[in-house]
Amino acid sequence: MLRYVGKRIIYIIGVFFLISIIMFGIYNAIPGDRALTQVAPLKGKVSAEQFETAYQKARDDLGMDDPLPIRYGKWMGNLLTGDLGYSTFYRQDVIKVVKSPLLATLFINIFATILALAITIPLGIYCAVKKFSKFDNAVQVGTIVGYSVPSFVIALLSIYVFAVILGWFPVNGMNTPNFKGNGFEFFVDRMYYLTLPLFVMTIASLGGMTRYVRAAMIDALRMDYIRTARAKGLKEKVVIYSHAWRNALLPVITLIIGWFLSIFSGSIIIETMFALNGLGKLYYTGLMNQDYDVALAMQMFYVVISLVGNLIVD
Amino acid sequence: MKKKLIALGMTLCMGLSLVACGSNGGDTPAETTPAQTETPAQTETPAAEDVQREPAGQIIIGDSNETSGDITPYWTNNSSDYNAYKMISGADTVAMTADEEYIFNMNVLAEEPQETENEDGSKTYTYTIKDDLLWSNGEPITAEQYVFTALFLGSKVVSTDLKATNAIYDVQYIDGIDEYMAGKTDTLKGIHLLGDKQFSLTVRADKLPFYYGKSLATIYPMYMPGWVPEDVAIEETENGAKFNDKFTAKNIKDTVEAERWNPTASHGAYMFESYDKSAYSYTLKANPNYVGNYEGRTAQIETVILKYTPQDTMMDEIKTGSVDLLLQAVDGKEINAGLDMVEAGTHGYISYSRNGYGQLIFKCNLGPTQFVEVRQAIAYLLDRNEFTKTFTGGHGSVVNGQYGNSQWMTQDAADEIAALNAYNYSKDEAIKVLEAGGWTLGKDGKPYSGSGLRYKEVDGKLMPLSIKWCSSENNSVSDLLVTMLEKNPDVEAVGMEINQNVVTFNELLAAYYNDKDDYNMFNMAEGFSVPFDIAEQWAVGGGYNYNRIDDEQLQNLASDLNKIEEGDDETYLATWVKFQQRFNELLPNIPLYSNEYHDFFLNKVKGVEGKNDIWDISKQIVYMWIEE
Repeated sequence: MLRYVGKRIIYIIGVFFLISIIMFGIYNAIPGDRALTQVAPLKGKVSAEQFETAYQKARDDLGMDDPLPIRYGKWMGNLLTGDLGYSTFYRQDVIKVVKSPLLATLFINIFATILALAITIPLGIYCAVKKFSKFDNAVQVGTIVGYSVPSFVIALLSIYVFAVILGWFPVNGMNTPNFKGNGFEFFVDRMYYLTLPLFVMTIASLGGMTRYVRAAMIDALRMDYIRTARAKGLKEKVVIYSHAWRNALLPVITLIIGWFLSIFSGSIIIETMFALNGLGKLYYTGLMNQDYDVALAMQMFYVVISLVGNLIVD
Repeated sequence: MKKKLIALGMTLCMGLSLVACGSNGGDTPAETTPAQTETPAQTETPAAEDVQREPAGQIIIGDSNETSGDITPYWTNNSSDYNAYKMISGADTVAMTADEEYIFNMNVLAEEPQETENEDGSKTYTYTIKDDLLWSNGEPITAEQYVFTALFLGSKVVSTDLKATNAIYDVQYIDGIDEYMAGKTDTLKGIHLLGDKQFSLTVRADKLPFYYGKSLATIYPMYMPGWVPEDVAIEETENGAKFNDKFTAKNIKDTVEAERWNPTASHGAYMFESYDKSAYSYTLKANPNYVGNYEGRTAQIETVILKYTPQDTMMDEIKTGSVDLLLQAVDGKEINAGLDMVEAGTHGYISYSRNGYGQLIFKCNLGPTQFVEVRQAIAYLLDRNEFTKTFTGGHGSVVNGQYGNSQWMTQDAADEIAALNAYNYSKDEAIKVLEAGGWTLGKDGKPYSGSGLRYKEVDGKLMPLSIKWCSSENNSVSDLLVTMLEKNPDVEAVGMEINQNVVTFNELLAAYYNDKDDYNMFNMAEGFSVPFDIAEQWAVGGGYNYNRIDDEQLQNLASDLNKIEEGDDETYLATWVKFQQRFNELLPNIPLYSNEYHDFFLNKVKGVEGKNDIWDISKQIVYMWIEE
């Protein structure tokens, strides 16, 4: 076991460096002038000479006149010492830029994942046991609809119905601006604000897992050992949960671990629609503004998460 | 709290019966009312001129530009952050009035400044500030803190070592700033500390004379104890003021970083209380020590919250009361939805012209667009009235020169502006100007046959009438231009072709600024600030002349505008009109549309009228109040 883990860690290190070279090369091959983008707001507001000076300074800061391997070496050297770089868009160290969205994404995704699993697993099991019943058919249709309808449509509909028409929830945001209260009140306020996004995220993620659990359970319930268990006179509950579900769990657990790993990744659409300060939006903003230190840091973070996640799953 | 718990409980129940919550085909996600046939009159609220109320209530202002929390504008440049910043600033030596006039701020100054014309052409202003000026935290505002602003923002340490690229903006006109910023000298010769309440500021010679001359003499205090550690001090020398040797990046980095995000004291109508990253919102509180704007107005609303409202749901937010005032709706569908609320009597609104426009920009030094006739032909081949109507949903106007509809000049010279060539859509006119410009040949060098591309002989070679257009991706203006210009059958009919190249916005910027890839035409927006300074933009061979147009008349008119004496509005207006006429003839850019902004607000918000694209929310806020 230890030997296997050791080999895999060496493999992870190799893959990490390989991907880092590829990613760094790709980001630096994207056309555009980052220094120019950075100083463009000054155009017309200072003299042409002052603008040129600022532009040259920005080029120096970004090391744009260095050869690519030198730039890679500097970036990787900093990365390995915990310096994720400097955001040219937010004009701040990347570590500070990422911190708040990361926490917000984690907070939202943990709830969304737990909520989705709490619904989909019992629902999938129930549908498998009652397969082809009216309820099962209704769930199949519902999950296909949920699976097919883009999340922004669900988001807009939810906002319209629950926020605008019914007025139950705020249209967007993560908490009341200028909120005053104790920790518990703040938590309740935040959950109140996050209900709609969580609802949308849950709806959007139900289809896949429900159908996956249902299929795994149907396969398991067809096995001979289930017939044997029933023949032994075991209670149906025991047959389903102790015998069928345990065996159905093997393929499902792979998916569940994948879900838990995805709690680090944000959703651009949900975060944009609901004005949530999360990682998805940050990544998108980074890419659109050539803020490569932010984008690369996040990319490498996801690489590490994926590699470690694969090791855990295996 | 109870309501929230009930709502949460209900949702939990709904979540468990999720299947029943599938989309209901009968519901529509957003109102899509047809364009209004009758627009409701703008909201009139009681006049606020002579009434100063005690600060009370709270207003939540929604802005579709995302806030970042970087409230001080020296690092990032974001209009919503800047609105918050301007609300906490107000002890400038010079103030702009609602009529776009610059005046000395006599709420701050103890007396009119002493003005000295120097031999080298520079001009020195000696300011004496009032004794009772206070920061929001009660500490006195001193002359040293004005001097600090110049030294701090102009320093190499701040602009280079601490990467505050935008810091130069507020101190760029001070004499000697370039040498000081480059680190060639440790003294800034254009600023002197003359006493606790007195200092002098010298405006650099190469910017003078200037029509908006007083604007160059603007300086404001920065809270020195917040920005730098106690051991940093200012020393006065005969060559100007300077910092002591404790002013190093290493020594000030932590204090700067803290103050940048969390200003500890302010001198404006409001003071910074907090920024909520998760709610994208600033909370500002009325500053009890504010001396007032140029009319002595101070805050009448106790708490101002500036909040990001995504464009997709901004109308829902104003409808549900999540925000009290929504700034600058531009989309026709959103505006119509807002006007419906106004008609229902729940909301009010004001509308005003954008001080800028979307435009086509030409490179006037290469390819067919180097010829004025080609640029004019393109103008004739685009129905700009229809373009504006379609793009703005009927809430915009066509502009025929380099001006913004909010500028005082546009209003004072309305007749002359109306007389500018509107280049009304005409295929025949396009052909006429092209033929007059020598575009009379076919591919084989023989006279143009009436089909295919036109050619012109340039330096002994045939040049095809083919326009290489660079546009950015995901751009609705570009999409409409494709339909109404690139694929317009009349473009082909006159013997022209326009080829769109879609790139990222950053690539477009690089191509535009650095003349990459030989593009002839771009589409981008332009906004005008006050002071209106376009001299470098049209200077022949000038660094800002990205159109690369070499026209001495245009250059001289743009330059002359700046050199007119302050207060000589008549000469200024006459020169400005001449400039617009020349611009309209040469068309280095073709203005496409200028939006009509709409601000919507709840009925309880009073005093919004008077705000426009120049006199913005940060200036109007002191005239506003909440009527519960």
